[in-house]
Amino acid sequence: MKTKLFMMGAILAGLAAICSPVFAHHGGAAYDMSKPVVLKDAVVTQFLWINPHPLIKADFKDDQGNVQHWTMEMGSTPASELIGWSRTSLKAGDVVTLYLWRAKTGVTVGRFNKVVFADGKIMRDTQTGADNGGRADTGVGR
Amino acid sequence: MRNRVKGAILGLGAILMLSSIAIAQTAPSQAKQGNEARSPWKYYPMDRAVGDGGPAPKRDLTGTWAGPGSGAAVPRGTNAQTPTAPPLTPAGQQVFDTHKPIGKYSPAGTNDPHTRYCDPFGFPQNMTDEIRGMTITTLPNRTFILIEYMNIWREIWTDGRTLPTNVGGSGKDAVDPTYNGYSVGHWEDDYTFVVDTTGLDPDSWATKNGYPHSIDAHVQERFHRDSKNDITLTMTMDDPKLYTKQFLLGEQHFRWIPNQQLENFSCIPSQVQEYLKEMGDPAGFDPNAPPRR
Amino acid sequence: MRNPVAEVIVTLLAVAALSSAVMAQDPGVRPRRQVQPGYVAEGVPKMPNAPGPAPKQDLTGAWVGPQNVSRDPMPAMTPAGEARLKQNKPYVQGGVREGDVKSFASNDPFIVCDPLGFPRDLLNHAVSSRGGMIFQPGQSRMFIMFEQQRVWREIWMDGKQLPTNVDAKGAPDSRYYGYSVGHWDGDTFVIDTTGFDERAWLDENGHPRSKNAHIQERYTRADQYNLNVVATIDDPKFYTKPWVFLKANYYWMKDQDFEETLCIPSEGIEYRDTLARPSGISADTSK
Repeated sequence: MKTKLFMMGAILAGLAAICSPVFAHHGGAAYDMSKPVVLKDAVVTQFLWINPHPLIKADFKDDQGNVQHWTMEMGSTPASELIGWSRTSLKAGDVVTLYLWRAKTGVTVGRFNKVVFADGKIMRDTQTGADNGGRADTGVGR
Repeated sequence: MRNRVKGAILGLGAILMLSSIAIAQTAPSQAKQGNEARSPWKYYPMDRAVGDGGPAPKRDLTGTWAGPGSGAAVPRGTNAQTPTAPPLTPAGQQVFDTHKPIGKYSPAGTNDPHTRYCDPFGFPQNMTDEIRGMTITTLPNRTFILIEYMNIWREIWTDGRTLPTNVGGSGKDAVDPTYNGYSVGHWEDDYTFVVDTTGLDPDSWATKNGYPHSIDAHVQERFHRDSKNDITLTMTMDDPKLYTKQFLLGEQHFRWIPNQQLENFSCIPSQVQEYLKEMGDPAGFDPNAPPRR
Repeated sequence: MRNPVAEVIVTLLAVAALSSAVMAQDPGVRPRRQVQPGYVAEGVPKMPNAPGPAPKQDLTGAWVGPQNVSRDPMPAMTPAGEARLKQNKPYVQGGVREGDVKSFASNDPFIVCDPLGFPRDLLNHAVSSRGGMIFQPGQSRMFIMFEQQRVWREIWMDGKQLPTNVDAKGAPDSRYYGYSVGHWDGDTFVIDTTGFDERAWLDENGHPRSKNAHIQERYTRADQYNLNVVATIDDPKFYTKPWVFLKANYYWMKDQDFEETLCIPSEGIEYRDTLARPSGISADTSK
């Protein structure tokens, strides 16, 4: 049992080594990576499948009933496609729970972390999609 | 103690064995996976060349190739700061200090013209940055490199002409510096195609991290056909005005794409402006934050 | 030539200032200028010898044009086509009104250097340069390398059928230069293209083309130095009938090479913001 777990861990570490980023992107310098903002039952208003980064725009109603307009960016289109994203992954009207790393400036923009769909499906960002803000282990080679 | 060492060695062996089996086996099986009909017009990263495909053909780089970041799991390359940063002259340092690269300054604070406007990378950056795919094709007197990103093509003259010596100068034979420069190439041996380029527009950055180049920079690319399925590209730059000696711009690896299709990937200037307005500028920047990997 | 857009804007201002109708009424046809001896068209040197016969099924080489341009009258547009045409405000409209620069408030995406796309890159002969293209066969494809914006097209000749469901889930994305297949019909090279990103215009006059438009180019090499093209768009979403929007000649480039022609977005934006918008030439699309 112990040997199996060790080997599994070693294999995953090996894959992670292959999958580490080749380029230093701009990543989270502008974002507070200490804890994500959670927008429960946000309504997607636009999903812009553009470069340099696709944008998810969503409206979120806070506890006081005020509607906040949020914009978040995710990994470039080719990088996101590698982990299953496409231009049709989200659309206006989708009700989802969004996790994002908020800009240090305090405005309602940030780096996308992950989305949880109504059916429980989760899709993550390329670079900051792990729960701790690191790269999520997707098992996909670069 | 001895068992742990044994375990570690066994574990390492297991990684190597299982990784290679995983890589070798995923390509054909994943090519058949998926319920959606596969389009002959799309690039499927999991549909990768298996193994090296056999010996390299001689004097032939033609075809469509997947590069770093394509998802085809090409071997990892190196960039201009491995193992040490390029050695700048005082003049080079002066120019370098005016560049605020995106890695440190984020879109909001950078003055990288590609990030702020979608200005062309220019050569050599267009062969080290976002080089997720390219096609190489030839005429008898020149070789073309068709780059996936931005749909731009480069031409490399193989008719024996020499590089221009009066780029950006005055006089009737002077030519203008360009984003892609002036390139000549030749086969050094049956597997190594060497390209020399000069005459580069100094508005473009040599690297993503803001290392500059002058008009008279001389960049050499060495394309080595390692096997049927693999190319290794090594790039060096000589630019005595800005650097004290020749340095390595980077090493990139490319693998054959089975269906020969490239991704559709460009920046669109109006989209970049929209992105900066909606996201990049409001997000601000923190140049003192530790750089992320 | 680095900033063709700026050249166009500056020239347009000059034209407006002179207030003479130098633009042809038919937007597809350029006025014929006096051709100097030794040239087949402005800026296109004539080859020193007479052309030999056309090599069979061979377009390989660098060509410059289009010259001797004409197009059939445009068929009636559909309501959707008319609505789209109205939205597109080119900076070359069918005539210059005296002293009324405001009539040219343009939202041409090429002002900020958005891709020309196909077929506009084939047609585009911006003020400062003629369009060059290189045909080069290889690896089951015909490659076309354009002078305009230094872009390339890939024409598949392996028997692939054109995609029919572009932008559907799992299907290829629409793209600026579309998807092309080609074949030889006797001595005519026929290219069929579809799958267009609709943001690009068909031509500099703002005519639209839809995602599923089918554009066919027919290239016939008349002799060693002359290549003739007829291009037709079949786009029922916007046009009630197929339309031959280009008939032209391309000539063999004497030097078989051309300049790097790139629209630089930072320059395009600078001219838009410091010159074109204040002059009313460019529409303020930020509002």
